[in-house]
Amino acid sequence: MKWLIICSFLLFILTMLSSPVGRPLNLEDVSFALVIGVDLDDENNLIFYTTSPVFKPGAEQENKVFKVNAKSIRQSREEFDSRGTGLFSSSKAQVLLVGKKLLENPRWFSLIDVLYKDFKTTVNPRIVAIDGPISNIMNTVTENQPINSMAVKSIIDTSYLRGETVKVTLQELHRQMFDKGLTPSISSISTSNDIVLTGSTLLDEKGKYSIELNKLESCLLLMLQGKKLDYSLDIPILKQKENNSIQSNILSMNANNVKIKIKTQYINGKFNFSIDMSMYVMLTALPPSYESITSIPKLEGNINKELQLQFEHLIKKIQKRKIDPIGLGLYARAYQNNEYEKVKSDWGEALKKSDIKVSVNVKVKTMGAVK
Amino acid sequence: MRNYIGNEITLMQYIFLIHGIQVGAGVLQLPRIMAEKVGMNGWIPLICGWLLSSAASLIIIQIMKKNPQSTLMDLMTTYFGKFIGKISSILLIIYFSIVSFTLIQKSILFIQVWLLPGIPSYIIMFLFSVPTYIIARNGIRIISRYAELVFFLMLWMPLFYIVALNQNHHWVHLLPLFKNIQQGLMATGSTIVSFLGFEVAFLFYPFLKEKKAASLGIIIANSLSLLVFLFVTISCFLFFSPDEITQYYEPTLSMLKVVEFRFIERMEIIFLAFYLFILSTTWIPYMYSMAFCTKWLFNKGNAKNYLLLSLIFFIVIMYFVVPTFPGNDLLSEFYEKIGVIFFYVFPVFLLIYSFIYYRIRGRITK
Repeated sequence: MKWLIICSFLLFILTMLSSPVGRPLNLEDVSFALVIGVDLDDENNLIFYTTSPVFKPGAEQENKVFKVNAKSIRQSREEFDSRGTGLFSSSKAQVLLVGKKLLENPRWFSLIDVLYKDFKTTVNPRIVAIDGPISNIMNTVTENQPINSMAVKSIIDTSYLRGETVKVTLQELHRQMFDKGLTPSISSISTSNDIVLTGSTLLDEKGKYSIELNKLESCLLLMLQGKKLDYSLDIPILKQKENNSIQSNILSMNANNVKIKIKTQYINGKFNFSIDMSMYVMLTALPPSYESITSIPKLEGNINKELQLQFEHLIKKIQKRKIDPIGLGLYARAYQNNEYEKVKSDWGEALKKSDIKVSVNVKVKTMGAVK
Repeated sequence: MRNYIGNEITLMQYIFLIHGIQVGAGVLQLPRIMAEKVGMNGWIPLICGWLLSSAASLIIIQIMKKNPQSTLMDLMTTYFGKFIGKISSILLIIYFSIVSFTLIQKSILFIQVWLLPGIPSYIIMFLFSVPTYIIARNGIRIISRYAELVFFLMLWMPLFYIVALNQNHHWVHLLPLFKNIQQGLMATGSTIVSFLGFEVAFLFYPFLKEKKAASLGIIIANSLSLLVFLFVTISCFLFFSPDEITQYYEPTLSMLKVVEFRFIERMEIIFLAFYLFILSTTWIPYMYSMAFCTKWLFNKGNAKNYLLLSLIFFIVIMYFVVPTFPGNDLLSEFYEKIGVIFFYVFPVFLLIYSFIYYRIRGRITK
């Protein structure tokens, strides 16, 4: 009996060793697609870009750029495989670049569905809307960043720390796409002349391009989303036009400890949101009109007014386009569930009708090191 | 009556044995199932399921109390005669073999899709069966010690969920707290199967050293499992939006995909490898129970030989029938139905019968 077991055991190991499975894939045979870029060309054909690092000391190019025409990401991978030396794997992707022209097509999201379905892919790549040709970003060699994918990633991650753009990974995009009370907002980069971060791009509920926000508006949006960051705000005070190229009509400050309270009510057939926001600010530059103000409460009152104006402007903008990047729908669902259930299939329309009030309460922490 | 002395387990081991069986592969899919059935009120059926399972466990302990030295099969023999006793052991063997097969198959499927694509399932089954045999052949005491060790080894696991939640969490997802209580109560049926595992008390009660604390121990085990289920479900609800969570098959794992450190990415893969320990505390006791019942049925031989035979049998099945997720789901549905009938409904009748039995016998002996 014992001999029989031992013999069968050995036999099993032998078959296991001889079976053609478990063939390892060596690192040299894998090309890591660090950037995935998708765009439409002038004739509305899909183009895919990718870069993979070259692991060779003293190689002329540190990463190789590929550009193919294909119908889907999967198909593009086959095309990449037949051009590159290794098998392409998107498990280490860092950024996903989507051309602005493609974003105009509401079906673009179904293209990246494969990235969610595949167990091997990561959900952490930052998603970026690209205004201008993607090839510019792929072919630019940045000097202090060896790999351009890393450059794009760090542009977004560091700008996010100051609240200049939203930071949305694939996982977060999935949430924003599928939640009915929320519309997506992604970072945007312009490549027309130079590679510049321009702010954020808002999409509508189907994922179609809706509107672009500049850095200040992105900052306000992040505040409304309740993100805890060290914001840096530059608010233009539009009093009179100046001819001098050095503008002095700018109120600059750093804001932190942003706390937000959203009250949701349903009155007279429409939703009523009152947003209370409090924050501590550090003033870094004051416009000349502010210099005469000596009492702190009055200064705070003025800043409150300026901020409130900016918020109202932003909210009007998004209400007009029936989008909800703030996620007010989540609050409506949580606090006015019965009413929300009735309008949830067309939340944008309900949001357009609703009243949104913002009141800002600023506490000045310091006026800066010098007067 | 047979003698089970010489392999006793302590109260702690008994708690962790039952808790280990309850928490297994089900946790990976539980948040999705809860969200599908009751949306974000998934905690209601969990608590109801806990109440029901605790009640069922207490009933089982009450039944076992009257004959502290006998297992379920011995009890059936005393109450209904030899024939019914044998039938009950055959039914238990069938139940335990289906459960352990399903659970091992499920673990293999998870490992295949997340960790080892391209390795055939029979090879993974072979690799699983070596440690399973080494642990389970020594009997219930070693299995319980293993369960206890695994519990303490895996205490760090919730930390990863907190790291993931730190990146992204929304408390508003949970509100309104009492949206659909009625649906919540209706969905209790799908949570009571998650608590299956206390039924091993039917077999291993005679081995317990401190029999007085048996009821307390089984309640603690159930509550520990409830805590784990609640923790996992609520973390997933905080992380995923209510509209998207139903799209993930295993939200418990998908959630960890966002965990990324400067020095390491793809933490969910390492996590799943560790999770194998937790999965193993489910199937090892079940496989041993199967061998234990087989030994009782034939009343000869050694449990470890039956264990070895069944492991080899499993490898052979895996070789010929390639496991798939839909097939596995069918199997689990099947065993869950049997489990509910056997261990939630049947004990009530058995308890009533034992009352009547002792009444009548008491009268006769007078």
